[in-house]
Amino acid sequence: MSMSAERVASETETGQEGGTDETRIPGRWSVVLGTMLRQRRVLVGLAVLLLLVAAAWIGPLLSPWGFEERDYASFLRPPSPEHWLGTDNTGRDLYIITLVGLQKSIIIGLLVAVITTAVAAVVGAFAGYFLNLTDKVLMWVTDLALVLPSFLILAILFPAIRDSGWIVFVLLLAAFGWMITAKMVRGMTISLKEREYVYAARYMGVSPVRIIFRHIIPNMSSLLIVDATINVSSAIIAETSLSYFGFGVQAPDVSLGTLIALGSRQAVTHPWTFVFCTGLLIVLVMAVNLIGEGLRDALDPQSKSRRA
Amino acid sequence: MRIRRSAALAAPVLALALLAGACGGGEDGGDEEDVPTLADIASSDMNPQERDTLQDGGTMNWAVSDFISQYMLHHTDGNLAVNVDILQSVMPRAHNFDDEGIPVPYEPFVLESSVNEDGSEVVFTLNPEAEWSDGEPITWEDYAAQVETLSGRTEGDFGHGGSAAGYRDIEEVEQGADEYEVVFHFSTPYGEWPGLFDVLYPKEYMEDPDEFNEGYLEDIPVTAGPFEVGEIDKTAQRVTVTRDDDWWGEPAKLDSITFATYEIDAMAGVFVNKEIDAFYVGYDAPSYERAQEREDARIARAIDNGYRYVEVNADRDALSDVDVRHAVMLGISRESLAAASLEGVEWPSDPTANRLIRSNQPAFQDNSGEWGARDPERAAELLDGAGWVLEEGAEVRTKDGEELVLEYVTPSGLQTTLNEAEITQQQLAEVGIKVEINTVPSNDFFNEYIYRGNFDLSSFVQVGSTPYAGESYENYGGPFGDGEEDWGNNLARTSTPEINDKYDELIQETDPERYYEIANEIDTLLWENAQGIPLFQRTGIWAVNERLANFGAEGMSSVVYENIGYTG
Repeated sequence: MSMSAERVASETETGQEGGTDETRIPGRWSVVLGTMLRQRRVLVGLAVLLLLVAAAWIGPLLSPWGFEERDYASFLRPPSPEHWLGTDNTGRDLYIITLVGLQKSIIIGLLVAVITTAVAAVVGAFAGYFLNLTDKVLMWVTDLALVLPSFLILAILFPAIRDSGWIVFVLLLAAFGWMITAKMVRGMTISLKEREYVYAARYMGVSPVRIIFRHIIPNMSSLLIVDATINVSSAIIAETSLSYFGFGVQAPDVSLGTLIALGSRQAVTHPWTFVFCTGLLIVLVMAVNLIGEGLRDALDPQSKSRRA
Repeated sequence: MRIRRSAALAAPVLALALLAGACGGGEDGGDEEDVPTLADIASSDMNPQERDTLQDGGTMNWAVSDFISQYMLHHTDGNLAVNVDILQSVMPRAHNFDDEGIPVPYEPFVLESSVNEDGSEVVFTLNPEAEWSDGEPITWEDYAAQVETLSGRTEGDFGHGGSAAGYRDIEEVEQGADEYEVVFHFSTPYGEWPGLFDVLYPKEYMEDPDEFNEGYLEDIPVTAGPFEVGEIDKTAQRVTVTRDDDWWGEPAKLDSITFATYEIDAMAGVFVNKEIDAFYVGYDAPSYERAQEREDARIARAIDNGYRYVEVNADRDALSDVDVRHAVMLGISRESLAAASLEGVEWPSDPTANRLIRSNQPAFQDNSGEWGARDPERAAELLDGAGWVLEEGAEVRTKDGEELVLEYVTPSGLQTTLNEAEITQQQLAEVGIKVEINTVPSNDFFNEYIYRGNFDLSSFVQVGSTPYAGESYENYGGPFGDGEEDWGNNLARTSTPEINDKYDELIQETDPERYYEIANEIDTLLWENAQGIPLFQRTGIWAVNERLANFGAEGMSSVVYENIGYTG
């Protein structure tokens, strides 16, 4: 991403003796990073998220059981030295399938968030920059997508996309998550396009598309980053709930949603099938939210925590 | 495609998939010595008590899985096992069965019944006291009208979709000595005649197609039984039947029975809350454990007149080849599948299942032969022989460039079927068959997928509504259509002339020993032709209020509604 024009020059750091020619100007991002990292919740969130990612990718390597392996001698058994988190109804080792499910949920959450925010940025910026007909058409599509009950549509579309794998599922999830951000981006674009540097670019003959991608969108990066982070958790929740109802990830793949669906009906009698996957979901979403909120506060000049 | 569903068969099938719950093993499943064998399971477990010892009054809340809209059992839409449970409390039937499957005339309606030497003539002596709730006596004409309509001979647009087994073998019905004696003339002997008239309707509702189709729609206008209809509450999805004071038989001990509709997953919870007094647990481990949390719960265990199996649709390209069907059979481990479902309910995880005979019957035996145990190597050989070869490095077998992919259809929200599908998926992958699991809405499962043949594999239960083996003819025989090919209730959509001949022999056989011998021969032929893969005999596990008497796991026996009551 290109640097924005809003660089803050720091007098004190210029022209140091004996130094190289390199002039260190703390960029906006290092300020943000600094503010962010000073907050304990962001640190906690980051630490937990890293831990979860490590668990999801390294954890399965430690398991004596394979992901596609079933132990036909132990169905629905509680945790034991042999099966660390117990087994499920078909003899799968819960330790490995929970971690693999976590992996899938993290990937889906991240992908959906990135795609959602990218779509929102492009649609909103084009609508706000060009206004008139482009704006009408794009906002009409946005409003339409807003009023459609996304869950129902996904459930109805599901049979058609079932065989296409989870990537298509990611795209569909993203297709119903971008609208509100797009409206915010549109509003910001309308005000940004009155800025001098945009005028300058225009008078120099830079094409509108280039202006949008070089000047408008990069200037909203703080908003977009916060939005993407918060979208991660809502995407994880959306994925989980769709998979819970059987409209998402399909066997033999697992996600936290499919595991919770299995565990919830036997949570009282066979708690180990429910507790671990649900616990991981809660921890994951909380970690992402902590980071997201920390970022938002760090980027928001009005925020109290930034001044603190 | 025309779907032929007689009450006896389709109804139970539908009920099955819905009644089956999730499964799984339990902590206690490991101790091999403690696990009983199939032979140890009782024929019935009903807490039998003398009527005199029971208190008068009380209500039984019976949880059922479907709310019925069509109370004409013989109508295609009324073909549900739950319907039989409700209707038999308020409608006449000719015979009751004990838990060994021996029929006895149900005296309030039929005092005596007999068959002549060659099986061509059956005589019922009716109870002259019997009358419909509209005051009309129940006479031979009611029986005759039911035969004429269900045999398909009455002209008109009846929604029953074809002639029903047994009824179509009756050539003529005539009055005997008086209007309370019925004589049935069979064109071919039908050894299972006591299973007919499991629900009898007044003649007006059999003679007129409009009355047949709509008279019992969302209503039970005319009754004759120990109970009468109190309320059919569509909003609350409850049917309440109350004691009928005009009843001429032994008065019902209970004041009323409420059939309350619940999701299968919810039943254990409401049972523990004491909102219901009885529900079918089946092989759902969570329900099984949960139900025992109620301090006055009794878990009734008995054999059940059905078996769970993987249906293999021979109408699909790849599966039309018997070798491929056998490869599927050998590719899956029936032991694993049985254990996955049965361990959690402390039931012998024995995959021995006979399609025609139950484990409490003397002739019960395993006819699986060479096809019963998992043998991936043999399966691979069969597939190679059938032209489905595994290319170097490929995971899925191909033939003429086409992959061997089978679609396993499961109803949504039913963990058992999904578990079976996932295990099958994994085990068949090891022999190079790819299984795709297609979860469909449970309401569409039978109507849109199974009956229409839109599946390669699926699993559910076949339940017999009478103890007779011959009623399964429509599940394994065929094709039935005249001219066009019609597989009706034969969901495997395959059969052999030999199987059809054996069934003809079976229903005419009057010697019990030879009868069961033929039944076993048929089962063997069904293994040979790979018509479905039996997984295990269905469990008859019920959770009931411990004070409830003469009710529970009924096995093959009939529920005698007037005798159900509470102990003091």
